[in-house]
Amino acid sequence: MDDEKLIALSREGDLDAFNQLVERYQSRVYRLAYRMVGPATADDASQDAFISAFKSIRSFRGGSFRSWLLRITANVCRDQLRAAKRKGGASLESMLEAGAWEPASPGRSPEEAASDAELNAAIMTAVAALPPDQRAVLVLIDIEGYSYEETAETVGASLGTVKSRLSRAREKVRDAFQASPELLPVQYRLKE
Amino acid sequence: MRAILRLFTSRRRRWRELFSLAIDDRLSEAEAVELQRILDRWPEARRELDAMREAVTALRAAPQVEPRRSFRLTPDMVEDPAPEPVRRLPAFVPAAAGAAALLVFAIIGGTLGLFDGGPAADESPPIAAAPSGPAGPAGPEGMPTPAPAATPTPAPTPAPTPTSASASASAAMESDAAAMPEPTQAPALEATAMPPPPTAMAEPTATPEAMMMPEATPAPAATSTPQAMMEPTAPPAMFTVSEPTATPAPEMRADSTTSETMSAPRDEPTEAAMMVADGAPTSAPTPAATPTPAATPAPTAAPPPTVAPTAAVVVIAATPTVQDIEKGVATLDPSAVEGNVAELEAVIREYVDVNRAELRGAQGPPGRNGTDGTDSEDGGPGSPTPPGEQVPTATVGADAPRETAGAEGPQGEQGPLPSPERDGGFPWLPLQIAAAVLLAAVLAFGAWSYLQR
Repeated sequence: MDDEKLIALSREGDLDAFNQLVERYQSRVYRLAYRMVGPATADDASQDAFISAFKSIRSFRGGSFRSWLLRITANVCRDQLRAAKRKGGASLESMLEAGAWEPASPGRSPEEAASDAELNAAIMTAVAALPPDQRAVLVLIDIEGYSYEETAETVGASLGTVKSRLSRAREKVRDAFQASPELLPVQYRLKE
Repeated sequence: MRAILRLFTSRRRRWRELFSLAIDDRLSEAEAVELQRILDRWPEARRELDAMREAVTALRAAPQVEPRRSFRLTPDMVEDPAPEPVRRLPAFVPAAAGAAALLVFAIIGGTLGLFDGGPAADESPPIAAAPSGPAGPAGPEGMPTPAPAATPTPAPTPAPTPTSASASASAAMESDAAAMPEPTQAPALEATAMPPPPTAMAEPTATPEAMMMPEATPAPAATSTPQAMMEPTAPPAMFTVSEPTATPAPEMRADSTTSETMSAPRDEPTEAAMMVADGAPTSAPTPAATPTPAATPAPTAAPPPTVAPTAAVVVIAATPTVQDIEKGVATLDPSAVEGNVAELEAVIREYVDVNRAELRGAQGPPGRNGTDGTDSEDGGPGSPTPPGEQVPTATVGADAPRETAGAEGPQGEQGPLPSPERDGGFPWLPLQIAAAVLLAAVLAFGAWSYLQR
């Protein structure tokens, strides 16, 4: 069953139909939430995003359901970051929480798994220092591989704004990697 | 320097955007030419581009993470209990808000005397009209009940011989001055409503300086002529006694000791008073601190019939009742008007006779009070205040309004009372009670319905 049919059923309150959409998009939603708010709260953010999507699916006007869903996820993550900032800025610690990350490919060798963990930690450290708007654009384009246009649709900004945010985010990440090259695996360390 | 910095910042931003676009191969032809020119000219630009490209490579190599659980929704997740209370809350919240608003309105209206003929209607009665006998049952707790006014108020003159008001006032003053401890504070009198030239009668309360006529124009020395006092068309002015000032005013000692009706109980320090009219002091505390104020005219007193302002009391009926005027006449002190009291008294009495019907409280029998030196008939035996007896004056101090209400007692005829049974005023008290009951009922219903859910 395609997305349109499932969306139509979901609009009528069919929870099973919506759960099929959940199964279809939950990895993308989770990955965005993971990079946005960190592993500790990524589950809650993802669940909240799906609940919010189901409740507001009547407002979906067509177009890319994925972009619409990721926009809801980004907004939920932004709200969580704002709440965490009010509570004392525990978001960075939450993002860098060790042990919460699990290798996506259990079949990789221990060395590869260690390298992945090292790289992941370095990226999370650099991304955590970005403002939420730049963070979302960087994650969507550079980590998740979305196009500029879809990213613009997802974050609800113009193409020029997306380009600007992306260039700033990349510059900051580059500076972070240059400042702490030891955090990166050897093969990813920036040349002097 | 700033221009150079701005130029540098702008150039760096441009470089950054070109690098980012170049990494994604999204450069236009013009941008590609521009980037190539930059890279040829600035070696560090190429290094920065390479570093950014490597950083993006690392980002794109980020390991994929997968959710550790499913985010399928269950019916209990999507059940929204929130809308229901939102729908129920408005059922009683607006009602409670309305009842609260009504209660506030009733309290404020009752306090200010709205619809009761102006602020003067239910403000504190003239100080001299404070109960001269034992206080009666207090009014409702927390309900500022204005003092009554309909019944003629006996002048609380301490003099046993009412026909000789001046002499009695002097006698009372002297006895009081001897008995009173030294004052330590000076309560201030404020004008709560002070339109144009007031005819407010400053009631002498056994002190010669106590009688004063606030004028429209605030002046250091309150002077007024009998004609000005008599002006029937003048708007009312209402003076009430405010909270005593914290600053001791020892220089006002002499004045303060002369006020019997104003004074605190005998074992308490007497307080001097300062009268303020129209927001500005019309009578600054006189520095005349002689211990025998009866014999010493106030320094600020002008030639007769100028009345010297005093720090000792004061009063005032903004819309004077017959009783107010008669009371004031009865307690006139010769020294206050420097010998013209007889003439002033005659003028006032004539004015009262002519304008009795127009005066507020004219329903009382003329000459009823102030003639026998005792309280009115409902004061009963023992109620007359003997000369020199300390009379609790409720209008002095911060709690003046409440105490006035509470001290109404059996005498209960001092000042105006904004009750329908008295002078046709708006029934604030029943409205206050009704609003309070309504608010309580609505809140109780709201709590009950909330608990039922």
